Amino acid sequence: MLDPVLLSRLQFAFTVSFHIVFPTMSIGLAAFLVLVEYLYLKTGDELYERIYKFWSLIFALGFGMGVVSGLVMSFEFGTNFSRFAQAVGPVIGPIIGLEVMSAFFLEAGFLGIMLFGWGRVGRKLHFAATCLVSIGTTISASFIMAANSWMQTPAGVTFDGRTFHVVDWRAAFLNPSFPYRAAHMLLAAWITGAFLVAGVSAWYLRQGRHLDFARRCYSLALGVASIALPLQLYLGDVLALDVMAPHQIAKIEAMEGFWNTTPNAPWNVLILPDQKAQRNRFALAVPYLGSILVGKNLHTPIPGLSETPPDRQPTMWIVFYSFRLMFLLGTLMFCAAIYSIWLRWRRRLYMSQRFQRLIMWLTPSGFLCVLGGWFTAETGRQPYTVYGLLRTVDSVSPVVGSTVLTSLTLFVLVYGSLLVAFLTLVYRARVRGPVERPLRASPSGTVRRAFVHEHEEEALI
Amino acid sequence: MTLDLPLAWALVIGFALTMYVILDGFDLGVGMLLLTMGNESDRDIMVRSIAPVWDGNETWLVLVGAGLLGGFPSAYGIALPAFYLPLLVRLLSLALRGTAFEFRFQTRRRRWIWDAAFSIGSWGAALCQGLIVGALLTGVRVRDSSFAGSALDCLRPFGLLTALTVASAYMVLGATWLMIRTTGTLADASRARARAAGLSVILAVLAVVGSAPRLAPQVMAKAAIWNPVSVTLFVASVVGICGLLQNSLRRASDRFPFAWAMILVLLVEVAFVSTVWPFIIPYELDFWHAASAERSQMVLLVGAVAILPFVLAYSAYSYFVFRGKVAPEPEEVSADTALPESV
Repeated sequence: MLDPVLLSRLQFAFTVSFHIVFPTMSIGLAAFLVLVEYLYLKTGDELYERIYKFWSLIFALGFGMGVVSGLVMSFEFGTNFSRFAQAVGPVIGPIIGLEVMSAFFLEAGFLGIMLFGWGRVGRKLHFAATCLVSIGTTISASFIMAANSWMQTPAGVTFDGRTFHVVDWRAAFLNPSFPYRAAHMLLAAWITGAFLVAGVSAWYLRQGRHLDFARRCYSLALGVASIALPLQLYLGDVLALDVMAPHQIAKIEAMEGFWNTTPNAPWNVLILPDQKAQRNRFALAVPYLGSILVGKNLHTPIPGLSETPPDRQPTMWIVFYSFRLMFLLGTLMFCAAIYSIWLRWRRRLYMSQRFQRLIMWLTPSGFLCVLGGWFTAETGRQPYTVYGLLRTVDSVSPVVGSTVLTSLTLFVLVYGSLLVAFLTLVYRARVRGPVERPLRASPSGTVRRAFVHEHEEEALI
Repeated sequence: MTLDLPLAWALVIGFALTMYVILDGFDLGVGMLLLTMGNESDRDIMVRSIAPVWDGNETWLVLVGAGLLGGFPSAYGIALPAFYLPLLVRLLSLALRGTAFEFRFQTRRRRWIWDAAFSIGSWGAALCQGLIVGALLTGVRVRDSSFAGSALDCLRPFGLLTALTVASAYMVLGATWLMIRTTGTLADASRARARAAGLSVILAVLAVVGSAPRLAPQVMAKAAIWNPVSVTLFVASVVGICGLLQNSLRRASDRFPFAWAMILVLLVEVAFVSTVWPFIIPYELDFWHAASAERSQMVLLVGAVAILPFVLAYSAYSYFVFRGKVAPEPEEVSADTALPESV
């Protein structure tokens, strides 16, 4: 028999994982474009115009994917988790409603000007449009993080067993984990954008193409990464140990991969957990590192998942490995960022071939970290949708398994082909590279010319 | 006098729905007509006429969704599972369409694939919306504030007729929009499409009204407003407005046909809403009983009153920036087409 709960969860996981990649990219690239256009206005250097136009093309591709896959999300709460929607609608609905009104419209309204308005509006106005789009993506992320954080650390509400009622909006919106998780996500988006830009630039540098373009992008992006990564590492530590641990200790327990509370704890690298027997069949670990990371000394005990009753435990392996993915890759990115500071100081940033190859391979690392982090956060919240209050099994819609299987299949087919097309187009945009000759803004008198033309022209060259 | 919050918020949602139907209506219509224009440069112009505005148009739909979730969560929780299949097919269609939009500009040789995807997505989205309208008119089965029917309930012959109505109306909007934004043979072709789509609206509406006694007896039994006088009045106004539309199409006017198309679509929407009124889940749950907590609706309402005027202002500004006729691609780009596609 097909289980509608499992299938609905799979479908939601699939569609939301697909979705989150694109807003992450939009937030990161929009902030990068603001920086680039600011530098362009300030210096008048045409190189910045070329950088802007190249990356705004990639931005546009990703933004479209984010809009349409986000539209799906806003209805999927209802189609597959209708009892969740009925229960949390009074809390999450207004948050998402305000998000739509304050952020989505802002992005959509000024995106057209940002992408197609070059030459149609003045330079300053164009810059304002870029800023507004970037602000829109940031506001939007903040609202979504508020809603999601409320599900992680619910506050400001009463629950009558059927519906949540807001008693204190400020407490619900500014719930305990929201400020940290929002900052964590925004930093993640900037870092992801930075590694994307740096990775593509490293590819050009290694090929010896578009050198001035690539060097400027490489330097800017690694600069952003050097500032953001140390902050992110610190923030991640605070988020896990000071913010989430008091509220969702089960998630931390699952992340660390111990069943019994372990003093002088090693740091698990590989485990084979047996949830039923509440033990690991196999564990490969680095001695003492666990206690060092968690307690900053050799002896701090790490709590085990068996401290949490089995009916409130998340599934360990998925939380554990998602977290490992984010943590290990994030640490590698951190080391790369620190090393880039060293290279810059020694004035060898553009020379080290080996570092360029590393940065090239790290192009998608931000996206993988974001997925790892979200899988940790969301699967670690199980078996609840609203932590401690509303269980996932009580959240789903009265739909039958076969219907969900149909829609899941359709999603996999359509999203799969869209992803292939997206990656092909981005790859080809990368191969084509930026325009070599400086593109002048359209001279007056061409206002009525096709506005897509310029956009397209650069794509074809 | 106290503020009737559910009514106020229902009006805001109604406004967002109207904005959506008209704005996304015309860009869906353009997408539906895309493959009927054989000339590739015409298709480019058609897509470029909506490229800068489409995602703003679609955002009104997200507002409808979020507005229902926040303002009428129990209705949201009943309606969405009830329309599971058409809703998800429609969302997938919109996804296909939205990405085809961005992608087609990036390729030349394979542009036809994305044109096809764009058109299929537009048809899928419009038809599924129509199916949902039909399913709402025939009513939703509810037990214990949950949907109690089957996912296939909404796929009925009556839904097919409402789907045709919606699709035809969107095509009228799309074709008349193209008349404003284009010139020459494309504008002439659009005029012809508008004429045909206008006729098909009349036929579809007649079919819906005529078949209702057999295919949708629930409407006759439960909708308070459904009586011979109101139905005759509705059909007469549809025919009348279509007549005015045809008349303005015969004259050389660029803009009046779009105005008549908007009025036509509004009329159909008003007829639909007043048929199911005051139900939000016909014919089980009215929107006062579906209302969320007062505090939640208040937050939404304050937000809407404070923010939506700005949204309308800058959306209008965006339309203003991209006003006028979309010119055919300038010469120098045709030279680029000779370039090999990949370097």
